[in-house]
Amino acid sequence: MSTAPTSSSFSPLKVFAWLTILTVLEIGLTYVDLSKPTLAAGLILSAIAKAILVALYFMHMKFEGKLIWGMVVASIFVGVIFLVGLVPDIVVGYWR
Amino acid sequence: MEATSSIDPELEFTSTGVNSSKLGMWIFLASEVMFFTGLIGSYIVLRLGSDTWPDPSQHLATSVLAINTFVLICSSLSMVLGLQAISQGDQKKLTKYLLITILLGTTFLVIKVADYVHMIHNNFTITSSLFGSCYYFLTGFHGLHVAGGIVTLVVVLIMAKKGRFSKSHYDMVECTGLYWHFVDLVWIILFAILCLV
Repeated sequence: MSTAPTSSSFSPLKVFAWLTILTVLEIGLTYVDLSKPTLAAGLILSAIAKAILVALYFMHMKFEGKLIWGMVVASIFVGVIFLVGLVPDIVVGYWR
Repeated sequence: MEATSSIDPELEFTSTGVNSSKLGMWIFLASEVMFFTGLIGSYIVLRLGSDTWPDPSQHLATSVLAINTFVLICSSLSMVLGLQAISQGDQKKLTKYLLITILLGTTFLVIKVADYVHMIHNNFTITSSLFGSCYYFLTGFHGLHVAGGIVTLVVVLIMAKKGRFSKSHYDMVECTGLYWHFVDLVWIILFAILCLV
């Protein structure tokens, strides 16, 4: 049986508006005279916010149970471990 | 006495409480998260470990890529609206929104290919630099995912036109939607880290 949330659960247009605003903000940030780390932090935070909006509302994660959440969190956790495991490679830079 | 079940097999849930096709799609997406984390991780290692890295705006048409981002966000919206339409039993609206999603997805790919051609003409190729390799590799893989999504959406559209979905049976629309939104989500990350940072 299909179980997608109904239109009364959330407003897709509101989420769409936020995604558009954040995208415009990202572009705007690149025109502001910011230091590289500040710009990178701002853009990455904005991208994460957009990704969370898409996952929570468009992918209906907000309305999912523990099983789906567990799978998503586990895959992100493995991804984070992978990224942390790469830190020595960044520091050593053996390919240079 | 013969045991009979009043539960329609199509409506039956698994012991997990989540229907099998949706669970399968989420497992697939979990593997995709790790796939793209691997690619993005490699990009981070190469970028942070390099002494010099070009400014993306020197090689990339950022405004065109921003428009492409907007196109993909619009396609996600039309996919959500299509799913909401069929959850209310509106097959006509589902067909309309699926068609819009396919058109927007195709527009994204056409812009992407035009962008590649433009960059190659400007001598920015996959072998130009480490940035070139990362850019074409990551966006190329993402493009393949978009192409796969469009093919799946076309199949769903054909099924929708044949009236295969109803108010209580639209698992395939939901699963295809999940995949499509994931592809959108990946582009949102790639756009920020590859094209803007």
